[in-house]
Amino acid sequence: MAHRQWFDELAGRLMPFGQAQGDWIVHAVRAGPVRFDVIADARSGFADIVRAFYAATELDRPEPGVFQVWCLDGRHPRTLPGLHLSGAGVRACFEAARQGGAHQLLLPDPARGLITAFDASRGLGVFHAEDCARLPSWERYSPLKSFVHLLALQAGAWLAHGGSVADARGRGVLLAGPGGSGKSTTTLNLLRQGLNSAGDDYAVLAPGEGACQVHAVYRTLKLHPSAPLAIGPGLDGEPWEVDATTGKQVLLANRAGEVGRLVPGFRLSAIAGLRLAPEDGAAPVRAAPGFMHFALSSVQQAPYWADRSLAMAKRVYEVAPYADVAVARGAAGLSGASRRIVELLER
Amino acid sequence: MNFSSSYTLQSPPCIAEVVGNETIVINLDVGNYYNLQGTAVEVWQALMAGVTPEQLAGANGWSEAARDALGKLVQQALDEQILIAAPSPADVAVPAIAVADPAELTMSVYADMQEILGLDPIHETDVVAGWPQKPA
Repeated sequence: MAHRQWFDELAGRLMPFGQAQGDWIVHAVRAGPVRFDVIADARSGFADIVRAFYAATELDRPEPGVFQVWCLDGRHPRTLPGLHLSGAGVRACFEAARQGGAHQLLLPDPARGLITAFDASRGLGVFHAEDCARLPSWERYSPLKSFVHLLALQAGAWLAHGGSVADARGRGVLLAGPGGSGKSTTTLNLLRQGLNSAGDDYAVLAPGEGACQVHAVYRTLKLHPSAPLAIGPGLDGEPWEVDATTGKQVLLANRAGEVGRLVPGFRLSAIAGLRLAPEDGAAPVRAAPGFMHFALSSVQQAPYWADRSLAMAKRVYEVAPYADVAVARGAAGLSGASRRIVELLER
Repeated sequence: MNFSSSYTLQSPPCIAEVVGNETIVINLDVGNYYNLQGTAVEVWQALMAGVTPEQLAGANGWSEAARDALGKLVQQALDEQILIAAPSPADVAVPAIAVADPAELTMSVYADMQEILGLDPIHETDVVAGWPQKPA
């Protein structure tokens, strides 16, 4: 079946809300200009992933005109049209989604039993998991990231792969860098020193005329067990939970409207490009130029509409000064990097 | 490499942006990324506008050394499959570009993220650890 037909059939099968069988719940998710409603069966494991959003409010019914993401699992076998793709077909879906031309993106992941479908023209998306118990870690702690990324681009914003810290004046620094560069650890270290944050791994960035606003998406703060930070009690007394698949410790911090260190957003005053310093005695690695380092991990984290994503990264990069911050290993390295970031914030 | 041909970005799979005095090109298939700076950025923008290498070097009266460096730059971009030959536009303005040092007409190639950028984050990553870990 051609993609367009598949999406036509999908739209026809998604029953109008209220006539649906089962116990459907709706949550309105907000992150700055990104708005969507998550519709999930209360009996499914999807109710659990909604808790990871910073701003998610339960509604009686979906809001007219707002993008709908239906979360479906094995309870709704007839809702999803049949999808019989060869390995090459699966790959072709991914290749097509990387470029920005298509309005309909179909991202099947047979190995994990997942399907992500995004129909920009109808304002409709589906996230299907055969078995919610098998959801990968990132879909539990940074859920529906692909939808946030695509909706951000549609709204003239960008989902950045970065931690963030902000001061009481509402100005802050984005901590950009690939996985393992120290974003979460440095963010948590600075939270413990009294700063605020809009998240440790992702944020929606909305560039405007000469300025950029940073918006919180998720309320999960994650720490690798090997991180050079005394774990101790969680932030503000919240307990940590352990992600069984990755071993990471995860903290669910405050939601929007609750008192806590996560704030809805702040004005971007600088970008810190984090990179791990080479180990003692190791040959220095040729560093990528600033923009490359800043943009690459975000583009690759959600590599759909990659050309639009790179263009939006450029808009963000052009409105905030960029500083390279090397993070040496160990507590002293973390402390040094944290000092640099505070200096950037106070500039 | 043909000096009289126009060239364009090979897209897909390449994407490119000019940021300040840098040009960034990413080949999403191969996973390499490329960086041009200074005069090479001006040359890149002229090529993307459809100016042929011959028009560029001829109109600006470049030295043999500069022409040679331009030829090597374009050939490198062809070898890396980020440029392809394209029909020449009917009317194209040739910008004034002075080459003080032919060594400026170079392109840096970064392959250190090849494994990550070339990795399909949906299907080729570790099922448990996710991107950028390859399956064990």
